[in-house]
Amino acid sequence: MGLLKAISDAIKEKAKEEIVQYLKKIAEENAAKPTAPKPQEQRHDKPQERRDERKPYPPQGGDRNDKYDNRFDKYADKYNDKFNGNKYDNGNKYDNRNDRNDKYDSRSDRYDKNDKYDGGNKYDNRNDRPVYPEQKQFPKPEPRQEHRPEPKPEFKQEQRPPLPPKPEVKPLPAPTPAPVAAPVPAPQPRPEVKPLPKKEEIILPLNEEPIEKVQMVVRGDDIVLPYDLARLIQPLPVSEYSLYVKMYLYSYGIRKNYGYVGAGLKKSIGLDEIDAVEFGRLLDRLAKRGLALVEKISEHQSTYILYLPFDDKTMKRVEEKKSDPEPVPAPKQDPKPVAAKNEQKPAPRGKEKEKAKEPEKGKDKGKPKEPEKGKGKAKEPERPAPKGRGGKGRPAPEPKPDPEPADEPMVPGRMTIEMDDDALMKSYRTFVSMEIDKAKMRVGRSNFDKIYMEAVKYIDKKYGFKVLSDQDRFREYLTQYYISAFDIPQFDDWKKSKG
Amino acid sequence: MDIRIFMKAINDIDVKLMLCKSNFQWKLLAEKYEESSRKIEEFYGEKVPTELQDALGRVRLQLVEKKGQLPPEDLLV
Repeated sequence: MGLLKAISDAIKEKAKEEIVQYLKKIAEENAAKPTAPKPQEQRHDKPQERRDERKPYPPQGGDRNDKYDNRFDKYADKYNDKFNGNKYDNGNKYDNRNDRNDKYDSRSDRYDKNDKYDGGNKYDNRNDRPVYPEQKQFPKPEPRQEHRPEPKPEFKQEQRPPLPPKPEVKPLPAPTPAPVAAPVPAPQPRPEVKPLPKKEEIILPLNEEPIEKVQMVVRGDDIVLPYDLARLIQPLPVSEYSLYVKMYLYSYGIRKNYGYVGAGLKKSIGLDEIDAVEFGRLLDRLAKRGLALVEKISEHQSTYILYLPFDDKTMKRVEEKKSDPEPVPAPKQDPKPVAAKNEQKPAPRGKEKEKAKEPEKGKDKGKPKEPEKGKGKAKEPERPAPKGRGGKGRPAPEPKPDPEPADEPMVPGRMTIEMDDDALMKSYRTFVSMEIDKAKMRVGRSNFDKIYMEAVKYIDKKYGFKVLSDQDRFREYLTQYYISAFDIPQFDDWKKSKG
Repeated sequence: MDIRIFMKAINDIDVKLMLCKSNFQWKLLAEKYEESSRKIEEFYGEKVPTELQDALGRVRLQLVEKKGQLPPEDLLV
């Protein structure tokens, strides 16, 4: 490899030297030669002659009438060639094109239309052509005279009388500077036109009855729209009318007339394509008409209560807790209650103490939840505890309408202290799951696999081989092992820490 | 003759354990092991031959290790 590289380098150097020598030689030759005629103008001549025999360019710089004259001359020439049978019309008369070129060259200058390459000097003596001083300033060589065959002077003089002497072309007067406009007085500052305040649309209320939160106790097959309500909403514009009807139907679907305003509501009522601003505007208009209440609970969150005619048979009022400064309705009702979920999942058996509590919990599962009488608060959590919140769980709502006093909806993110053990246990499970995930990330995958191996061996030793085959028991013991291994607080400690 | 039959059943579990890839397969092998162990206890009672005891212990250890190598099942939570 090294040898090849050395050879290639040597070849390159030699080639460079040869190139340098060659270039020097060329430079010397060029310096020794006299200045040759400009090759560029020769190049101009070649296409010029070619154009002569085909389609000549009109003269440059002439005025419009002159152009037309030349054009007419050209056509007249052709016309004569074709119909008058002049001496040039016979194509066979000339053997080749060169002869014909000679013919054109022998004609007067006027027929040479390619004078645009002549720099305007040769034909400047014509009257019909304006000559600008700028053109005169450039002394231009006359290569055409060198390369072109000399025109026959006798023939020229016979054909055409000598042109009148060229009148002196007066140089155009120097462009006088434009007269400076008189200083315009500065425009007086216009008095700012204040935009008129937007005319607020006056929306008369249609309904003056109070709007209150209600829940549907009895779920019927039909959605009832009372005649009075139908007549009430009849004068609404179509957008507001449709929004109210949609929300009315949606309220029957979720069995309550309140919730959060947001994308979820829009999607649920089939208006997800509508702009949020427009949706909010329509809702505000409904509120102004007395058909809804919109309450802003935070910067980006607001709630609504839709007006529904109260029916004692099918509805119940939701009593708001007065001690709570911000009673906010929940956005959704969880269709799946906690009790049903707990029935599907195996009962928590994380600890021996919890085992003792199991039967009590089992008894409670079938019953509807009752509020704790001592506290006097009836809380109905609306959402299940979201995973990943570190134990801030909430119980789910009751699936069936319960005749107990009204439930207090929760604000998302607010910790509810008054949770029963099931809800707490569920929160605790979430918490433990999170802690184990954290520990898994902390110790790494391989170490966690080793810990799992040790856990399996430990469970086999302590509880017997059969436990390994029993999935539920194995999971339970494994969780216990992890709780011990990763120092996760036990249920009681966690409960105390939650306060 | 009986020992050979039991030993063959235990060795079968040992061999199949090497090919075990999932918890479901492991569970089948564990059930097979428990059944073999129960049959041996039923047949021999208290006096299980040492050869069989060693084989049972060895296969159990391998089963436990295999369980630890397989992907963990979901936790209780």
